[in-house]
Amino acid sequence: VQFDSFHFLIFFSVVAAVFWAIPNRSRWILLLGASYYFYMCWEPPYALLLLASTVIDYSVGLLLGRVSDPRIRRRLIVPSLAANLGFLFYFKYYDFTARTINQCLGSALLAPMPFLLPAGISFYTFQTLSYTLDVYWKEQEPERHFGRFATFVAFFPHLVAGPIMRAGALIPQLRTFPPFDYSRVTDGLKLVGWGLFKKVVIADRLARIVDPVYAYPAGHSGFMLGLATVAFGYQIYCDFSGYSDIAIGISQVLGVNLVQNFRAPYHSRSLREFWTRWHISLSTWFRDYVYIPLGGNRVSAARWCVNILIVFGLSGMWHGANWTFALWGIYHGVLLIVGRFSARFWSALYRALGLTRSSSVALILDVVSTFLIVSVGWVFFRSANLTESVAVLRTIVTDWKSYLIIDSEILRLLRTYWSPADGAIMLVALSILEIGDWLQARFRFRSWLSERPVPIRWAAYYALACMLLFWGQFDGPPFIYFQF
Amino acid sequence: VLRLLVKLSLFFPLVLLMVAVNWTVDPARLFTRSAARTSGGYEGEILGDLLAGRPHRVRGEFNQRLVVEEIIRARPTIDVLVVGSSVGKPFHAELFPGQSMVNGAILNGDLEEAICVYELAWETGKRPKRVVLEMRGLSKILGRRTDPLVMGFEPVFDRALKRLKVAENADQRSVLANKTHKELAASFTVDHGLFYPYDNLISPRYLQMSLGVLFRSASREEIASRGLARDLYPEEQQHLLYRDGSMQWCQVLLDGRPDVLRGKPPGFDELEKGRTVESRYDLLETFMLEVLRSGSQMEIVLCPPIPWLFDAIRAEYQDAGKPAPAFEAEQTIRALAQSHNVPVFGSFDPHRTALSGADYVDYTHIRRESIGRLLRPAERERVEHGASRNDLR
Repeated sequence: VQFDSFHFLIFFSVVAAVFWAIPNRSRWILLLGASYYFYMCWEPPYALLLLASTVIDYSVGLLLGRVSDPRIRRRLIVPSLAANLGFLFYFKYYDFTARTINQCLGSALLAPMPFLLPAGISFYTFQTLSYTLDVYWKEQEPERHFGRFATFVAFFPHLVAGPIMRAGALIPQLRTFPPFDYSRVTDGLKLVGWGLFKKVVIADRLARIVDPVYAYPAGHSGFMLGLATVAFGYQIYCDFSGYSDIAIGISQVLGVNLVQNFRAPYHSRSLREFWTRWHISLSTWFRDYVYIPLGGNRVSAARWCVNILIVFGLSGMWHGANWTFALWGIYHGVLLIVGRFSARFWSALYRALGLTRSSSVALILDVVSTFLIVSVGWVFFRSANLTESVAVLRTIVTDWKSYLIIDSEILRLLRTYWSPADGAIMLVALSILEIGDWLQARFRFRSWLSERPVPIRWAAYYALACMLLFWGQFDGPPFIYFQF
Repeated sequence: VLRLLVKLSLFFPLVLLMVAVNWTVDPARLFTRSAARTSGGYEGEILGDLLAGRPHRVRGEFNQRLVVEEIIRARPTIDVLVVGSSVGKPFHAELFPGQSMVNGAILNGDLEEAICVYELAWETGKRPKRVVLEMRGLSKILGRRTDPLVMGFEPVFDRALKRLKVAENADQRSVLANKTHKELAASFTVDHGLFYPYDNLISPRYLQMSLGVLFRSASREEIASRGLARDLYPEEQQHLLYRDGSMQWCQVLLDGRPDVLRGKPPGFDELEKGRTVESRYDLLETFMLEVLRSGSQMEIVLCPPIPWLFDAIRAEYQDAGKPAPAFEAEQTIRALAQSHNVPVFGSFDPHRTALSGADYVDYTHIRRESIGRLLRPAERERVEHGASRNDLR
């Protein structure tokens, strides 16, 4: 069930209406049933996998709560880690491993996996892993109520593409739900509207230029590849942050708060800052469960570099079983390391140019350079394989003539992918996105808008609704992060 | 809660406007009664042109069964009847000189529609000397069919199944005859949702379509008088339908460069649906035997997808260590054809035909000027196997 489908509209309306109509103590049952229905709409048998993961982590959590001997505790956590990581490996990485081994051996030794990748497996596996590790580290009390624990794992708004929630943040909210709060519900609905705008107006329209160019990069000029790469940067941001906004919004309507997943990442002044604003729930997961256990930054410089590369390499591979994702992660890791050791150089350069960090020129330089660095990384993320990503980068850099002379072929291609109306809509929509993100960061725009007089507020709401109706691409591709 | 409901109801005028536009404009004729659903008499205009010998620019949806049936009825005799899907639509009379040829290929059609068109010919008393069955290599081929029959063909298919005794002769055929309809009905419901077609009243996609049609129309009166379904397509998207039932593709397709502008190949799961199932294999064999028994010749033309797409699919299957469904289907079809001495033209492998990427208007549809090349190698092959050239002509 896609969030931007008619089916979901009906499903969610019914769930929300019943949720507020039934007693507080029964609401988790409704959410659990709705979550399994939501998941089974896609591929019913895979609900068993979700259930198996739930049962294993629930049981291990309970046992860990009863045992204090560190040796036994260590033995107890092994089944949970093995099961979760085993499922993840088999469904997500087995084909990749088999293909790599077959290619190395030049034979078809290992057969391909016959199953589809279960939706959201990376997300719910990381969520249940975090629960077990928190219980193991005694940072979280084991949840004794199986139904509530199952609801925590399967909670439908964030089940297939996050945000990845920690047990300590979500389970207490599932014990007692707050009373109906008009402001909270309307704030949630506004967030859903904003998320839909990002997804159906921006991301799906950008897909129409990104997909054909990246389907056949060899047939496109440097200008077209550069344009498609920048477009992909915005597409994936709007697609994923749009999903997160909808997930957070619908949870808010149901009285549950999810963590923020994006904070205008393309307004970052450095790559380090970018990673505090992009897919925050995953970044903090890797920080807490991989980076800090590896020693964090309280280690030697050389060890820190290795830790960063491990974390970002794993983070890349988490996204997909392909070397392109690993390279994307390592690219970010390397640049973070370079950024740390070159910080003094950049400060000195700015001083030499007579710029202070707080000046507008420095701000623009920082934001643009960070955006370009991130955009280069998207080439690895979006390309089908390493050879293709290198070829794309080479064309973007060497085919400089195509940037200077927009010839008839480029115009013809642009017209094929986008009509002039598409271009105009995109310019308006991206301006709204950037201004909206800036206003939200600066002035908490949505709260500010809620306090305006009715005509102003409703003009804004109607404008958003009209843009969705008239500009939305309701037959667009599914959310990009569903495949992870 | 009441306050929330009141506030939400303030969006009601927008919803009401959408419902009103979708209901009034209704570009796909979803909300008119089924008898008038297709085109409000547009078929008459098409047939008027075709029977007078003029090609017709297709401006909107029409009932293909009615048009094909009338084309067949209007011919005193039929020498060559081409049946199949949209890929076969460019087969034209010049490829069969001196013969009365009717192209009964159906847009969005498949084997079942091909059988229906043959059935229509049979019902109107026509016995074609040759039946040319076009099969395309980028579809379910002989895999399980889940999409519904093209509208208007349901009763013909029922009659064909009864006449061919598909329902009486074998269990599998019984499954096909009875279950297909249920499956089709189920898939129709699944495809369109529980509230179809009324869910389209609040569909933004349908609203955008309605507004697009409205902006293209000169005035409200014109909409009312002409009916919108037949003026659905802008000029550059209008195919040209000829009196023999063949088609020339619209300008948008003719200007397309699918060899350069490559899209994403269909996914593995989609292609896997092309694996041959027994019931459809039986249906093909039954059809083949029926044609041969009635004294007609039968020929099969295998139409390949564009070479780069074929190569991508082949590479994907090679990586996966599996045979591609199209390869399996071609072997099956060739073996079946050989056992009944039916010649097979073309191949699902474009490299085994005389076609290149430039011969396509999109990933599967071949240019009218090029489609005849599919017949040539097979013609030579047939001649080499001892059949006279006149047999083919």
